[in-house]
Amino acid sequence: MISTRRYRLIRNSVFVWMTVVITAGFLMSIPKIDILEHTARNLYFHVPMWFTMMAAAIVSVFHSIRHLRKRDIESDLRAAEAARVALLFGFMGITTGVVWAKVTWYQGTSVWWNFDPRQTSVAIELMVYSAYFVLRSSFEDSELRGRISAAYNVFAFTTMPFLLYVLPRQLDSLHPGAEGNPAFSEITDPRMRLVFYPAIIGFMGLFWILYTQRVRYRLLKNSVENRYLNDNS
Amino acid sequence: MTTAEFASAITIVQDAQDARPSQDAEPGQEAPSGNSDGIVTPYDSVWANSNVPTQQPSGLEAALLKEDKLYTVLAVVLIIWFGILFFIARTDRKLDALENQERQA
Repeated sequence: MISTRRYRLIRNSVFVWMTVVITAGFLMSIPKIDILEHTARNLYFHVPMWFTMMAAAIVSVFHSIRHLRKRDIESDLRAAEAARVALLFGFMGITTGVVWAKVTWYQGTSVWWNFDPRQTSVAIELMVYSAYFVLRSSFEDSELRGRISAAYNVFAFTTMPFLLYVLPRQLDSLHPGAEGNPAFSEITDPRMRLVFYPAIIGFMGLFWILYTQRVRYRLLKNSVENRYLNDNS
Repeated sequence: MTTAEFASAITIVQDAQDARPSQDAEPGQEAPSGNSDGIVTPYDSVWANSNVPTQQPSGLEAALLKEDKLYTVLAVVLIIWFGILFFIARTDRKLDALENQERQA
């Protein structure tokens, strides 16, 4: 069970932390770069989506492996809910990326999407994770569902480093970071790192809040359903 | 509104625009005339004839207009963010209540 007091403390800290991050993201000065202009501030919001998705996928695969060893219901539903929130952040990442690309890569054209290697591979990644939920929904038996979807989730997780990091860097892409990790390379101005790194932590905290809420809901649902079954048997 | 009335309304607006100093126009260059800037449309009958506010922005308005109106976007984003926070906190309270109920059952 989740300790309510500890949860409240972390939740409220994340609320304050992210409010400061958002405000600083707008107010702090940034280098004036041609084409990017103020959209450089998207670094604080678009890029942490992917870091958060990665963190959420790690949480998800951790619980899937745990489920394969212990065969308990809780780790199965924790894996599913972490993957669900990971997908949410992934979709927000790809959507914000499309908007950002429209005004930079494709400024002055009618192009919104052009199958850039990075965009294509993250789109595939999101489909791989969507398939996890399709797979889950195809089982009546909860033990079978837990075991097979946990095994699939381990596969899905192993594709992530290749689709997010290896493949896009092998191909010519408009996305920064084709030559290395954009977040930790010289191209990021030190002033922007002051907001960027806290933003990553804050969004991961936000993931934790949403994930914890979903887990509490699923445990409750489980408990209600079990009671109902016992009452009727 | 008859055609004549409409035409006279347009004329009044154009007069008002000509009287207003143009911010964009370079010295010696004629400001674009007519309704090319999209302010005046046939639907504007209510506002077109009213006086365009000329007072200096102050207080909150001045703050919102700074930095190419960037702070307006900040205000909008913060309102959305606080709305989401409120919603998360409410859902937590509902879960607390249900968990207590379930523990007693």
